Amino acid sequence: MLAKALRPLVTIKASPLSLTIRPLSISSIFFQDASSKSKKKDDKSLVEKKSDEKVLRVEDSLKDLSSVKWRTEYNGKRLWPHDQWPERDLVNFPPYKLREVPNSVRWYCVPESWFKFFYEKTGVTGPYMFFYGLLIYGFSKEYIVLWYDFTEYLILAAAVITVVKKLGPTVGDVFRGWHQEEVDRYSSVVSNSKAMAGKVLHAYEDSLERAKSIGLLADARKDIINMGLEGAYRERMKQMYEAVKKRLDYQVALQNARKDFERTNMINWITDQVKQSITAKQEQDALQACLQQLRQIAS
Amino acid sequence: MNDTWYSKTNETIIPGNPDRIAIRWDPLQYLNLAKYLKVFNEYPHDFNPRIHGPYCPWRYYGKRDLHFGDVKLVDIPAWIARRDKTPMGIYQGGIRTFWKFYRAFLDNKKPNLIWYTQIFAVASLINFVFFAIPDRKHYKWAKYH
Repeated sequence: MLAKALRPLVTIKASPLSLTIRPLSISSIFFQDASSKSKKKDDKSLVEKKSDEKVLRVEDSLKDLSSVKWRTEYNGKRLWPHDQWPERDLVNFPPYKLREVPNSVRWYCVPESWFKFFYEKTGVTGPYMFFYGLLIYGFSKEYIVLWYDFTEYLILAAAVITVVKKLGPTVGDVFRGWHQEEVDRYSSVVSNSKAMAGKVLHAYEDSLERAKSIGLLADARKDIINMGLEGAYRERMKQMYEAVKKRLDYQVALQNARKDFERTNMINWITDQVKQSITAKQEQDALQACLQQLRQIAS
Repeated sequence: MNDTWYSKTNETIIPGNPDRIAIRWDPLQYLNLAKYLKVFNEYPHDFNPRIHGPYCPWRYYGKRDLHFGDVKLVDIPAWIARRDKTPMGIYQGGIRTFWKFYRAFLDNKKPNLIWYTQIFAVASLINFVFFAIPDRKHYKWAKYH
């Protein structure tokens, strides 16, 4: 044993022979390999030879990882490069998932799994009775000695529980807020970029829609102009009509006036001539005839 | 210089590799503690990444056995006999217990201080049972209970 301790420490080479035999004990570290020692003595030059180069192996203890190669076949079926692990048992050994909340706990130190375990055998009050029973056992057997410092412990327990119950959630939220701020510093970069990208896309879509309606605007402007032109055309037509009608009305009025003048002139001349030709005798005869007619009508 | 301190043909060789150093006495063999700790840093014997995927230190990769809550009182000696009671097995069981505790209370998005109170409670119990009770035996009110 002493000789073993005094033996100079020599590094162990991972020779091909030693890879197959890997006992999980520390005696192998202190085992001197005679073959490795002889190899070292022959290596006098500092220039590397490819045959003597040793690569540091990362994991020698895994059984199958030392021969990791891309496999092309498994159980007669073709294995593709993207699907090299057909033996993976995802049912019994599911992949790792980060948990959301820690295990729930009663009285700040007793896990819920113990309560669930004893529920079938003792019911809901089982663990409670157990711990209270322990307390009472301690008092009765004087493992918990009721000396003058017991009051301090009682008050301390009450104070601690009150403080933790009142300030616990607040303090936790404050710390979680600080942590979340730091996390948001990193994650906000990407989420803000996404939001800005979304806004820009929305604006682009709106501008594309507006681009579609530019044709309608042009048509509307054309319609407005056409309507104005039509209005002006109609107004001018109206003016033309009124002008022509005015001239024609003048001619008509002129002719009517001429005729009217001729007629009145003729009538006046005729009546004047007739009145001049009426003698006194004709007047008397006309009067007598009218009186006779009146007498006939009256009788 | 007829040689470089790094390898031109194989870049995975790093300084300190005893296979590459031609001197007879290398002080690194006294500084390199990793080789002594290598035994504690190996995967369990039953772990196969092709089947089990990435390594989870809280899982037991051997043959599945009954949970301690499901085993009957009659079968407890047989159940204990089936366990791995070698030092390496005990060490790995302890490591698994720690990682289960870590995963239960620390490996989540909303941790709290229950892990601290649990350790505090266990330490208080140990102190009470092994140090406080013997100190208080002198202050007992009665001799016989």
